[in-house]
Amino acid sequence: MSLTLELRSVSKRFGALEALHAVSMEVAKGAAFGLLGPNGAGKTTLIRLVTGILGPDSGQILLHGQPASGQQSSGIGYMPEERGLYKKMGVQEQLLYLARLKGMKSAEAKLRIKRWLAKLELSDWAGKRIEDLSKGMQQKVQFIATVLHDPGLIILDEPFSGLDPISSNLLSTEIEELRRQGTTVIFSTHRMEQVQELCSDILLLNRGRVVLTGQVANIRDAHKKHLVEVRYRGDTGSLTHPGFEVLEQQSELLLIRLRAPFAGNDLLGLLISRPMEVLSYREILPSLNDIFIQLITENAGHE
Amino acid sequence: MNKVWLIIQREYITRVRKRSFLVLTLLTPLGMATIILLPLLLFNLDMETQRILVKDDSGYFGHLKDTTGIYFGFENASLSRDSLESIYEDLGYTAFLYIPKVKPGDPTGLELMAPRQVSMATKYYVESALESSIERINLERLGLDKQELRVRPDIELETGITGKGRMRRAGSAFAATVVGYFMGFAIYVVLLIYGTMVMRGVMEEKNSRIVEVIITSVKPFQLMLGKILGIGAVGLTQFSVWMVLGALVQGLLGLVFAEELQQFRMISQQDGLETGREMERLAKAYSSFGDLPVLRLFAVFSFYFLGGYLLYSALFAAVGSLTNDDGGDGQLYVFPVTLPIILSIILMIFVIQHPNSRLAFWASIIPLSSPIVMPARMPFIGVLNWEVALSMGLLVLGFIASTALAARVYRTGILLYGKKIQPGEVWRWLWHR
Repeated sequence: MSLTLELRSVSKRFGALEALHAVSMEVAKGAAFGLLGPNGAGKTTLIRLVTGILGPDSGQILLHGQPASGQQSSGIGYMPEERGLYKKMGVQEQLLYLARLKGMKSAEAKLRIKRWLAKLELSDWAGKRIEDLSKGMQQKVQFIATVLHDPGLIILDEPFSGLDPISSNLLSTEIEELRRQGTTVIFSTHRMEQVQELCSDILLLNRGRVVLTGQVANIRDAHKKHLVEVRYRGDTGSLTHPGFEVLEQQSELLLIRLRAPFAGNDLLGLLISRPMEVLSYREILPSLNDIFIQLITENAGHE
Repeated sequence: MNKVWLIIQREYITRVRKRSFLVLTLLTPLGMATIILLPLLLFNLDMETQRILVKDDSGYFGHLKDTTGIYFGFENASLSRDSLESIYEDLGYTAFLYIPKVKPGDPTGLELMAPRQVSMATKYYVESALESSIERINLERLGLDKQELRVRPDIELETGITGKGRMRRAGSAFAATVVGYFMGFAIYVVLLIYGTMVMRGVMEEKNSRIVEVIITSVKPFQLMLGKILGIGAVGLTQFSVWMVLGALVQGLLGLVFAEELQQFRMISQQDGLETGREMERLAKAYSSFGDLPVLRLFAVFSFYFLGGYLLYSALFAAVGSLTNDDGGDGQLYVFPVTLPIILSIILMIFVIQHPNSRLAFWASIIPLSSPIVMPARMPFIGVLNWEVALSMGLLVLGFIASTALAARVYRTGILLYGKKIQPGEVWRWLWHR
């Protein structure tokens, strides 16, 4: 597995404030990686270190296996949370300027701009000034500026904020497409449900320290409360058993906590033997949001 | 460097193609011309006419000299003062001048009455007409001829340059003053206009957050440098256009108003010896500009134009990077940068009156004030000497230093959002790594 980005024990201070403390992370090529954390956790600092805007005080940052030098930033596309474009400049003109700053040739850039504008249904707006575009359209332009030079790594800070559902869908389709072609994507966001949906791996930061990192599925599994939800029809009979505890029972729904080593299959075996019909069985995994809140509040309690 | 060039191009092109740039560039000289010409035009269009009825009880003034718009009449002299005063309007006059029985040596108690208050200009003219008449009468009484007498003739000094190791040549204090003022003031305007333009450009980039995207491609220093050079090019363009247009407008004015000027000259000559000499002196002052080393002055002026701009625009860029969305906090930092510019222009006014004082020397050597003070002082002290060389050398060091310091503030300032930046913090950025 080749790594697009690797941080080895990276620290950064601003005066008295320790913005990042010994942060390590690995982002595989083609991964969708979620960078999470509350405001002030150090996400922006981490991104600025990766894009070469800032240099680390200690530790190492490797991009595509090479120490980051700031000069490779042309291999990165970064879309900041607070979108920024020159309001008075035309769409096409602005994209061309940003592409050329990334080192692209003018002719090549024009070709790709045309293609991308068509893809995102902005062709008719190529000559318009940014300030004449709707907010959603401006965001699409910002996205094009991020990916135009075909970077191996794109970093998107809250990419969906302020987008209507249709544009939002369009954008996530494009991101998926890029990922299939091998582009690595880092999402920086607060929106857990999106991370859960889009990301295979996450890193949770709080006060400059890594609180949690790993694959989303593993993390949810590790934090599971052994809850299951069963929908049924018929008579359950008595449900007192040392292997599980019924938290809630409604006319057709059961909420049950299993007690190890009693497992899901054991429960199902027991239920099937009763004069009832099991309609569905679902393991309830904690959402990332729940884990996030739990960890952050625990973390705060330790202080 | 290729990227800096891209930034320069963008900064230049986006500004120059703006409609406001075109309008400002073309209209400024026209506006200036209008300000100068409008009073003259109005003067020609509509001037009030005063017809003054004179009742002369002294009997000395049989005649008073008329001028454009002011006419004297002496009719119905046999009627009493009171009667004339009550009927002068019916006789077609607009004012009534009463001269009581006075002696030529002590003309008091004269009155000029009108239905509406007369203007200062009218009052002065009538007074001088009366004075000239009395002067003539007094001279005749003593049997003297004014033309021959010249009790207090006018003296005009020729000034020039000479001394050890200097070629003797003419030099006009008047021309030096005018040119000095012009050059100092022009640079003052340049520093403020284009310095503020740099500051606003930086603020725009910071507040629209585009700066975060751009500095993933270029170093903050490259962005700052590109902006400063791009806007500097805008300034040069605008200034060149102004120079050319200014010359054109001046030429046109000369053509259009040639007739008026000729008339004016003729009237002055009729007025007598005094004004004739005035005109001669003006013409001479005008030609004395030719004594100045114009080309060399212009070359060095351009140097201070650029040097001063580079020095201050870097500081303005740093100030722009310290502002926040509301723009309020930045005010705190704008002041320390504009203060030396304003102090320089005040110093310049003093320096032009005392171009060889010690203060003048230091003000034209220190890089913060030299861009304004030295060009103003140069017509007096000459271009080719060690003082100018020292001042220019220090200015180069000055703008290198200001750019280096500004870059340290800029690269941190542009990334800090949402919090007030304290002066102590800025001080730390300046001196720490």
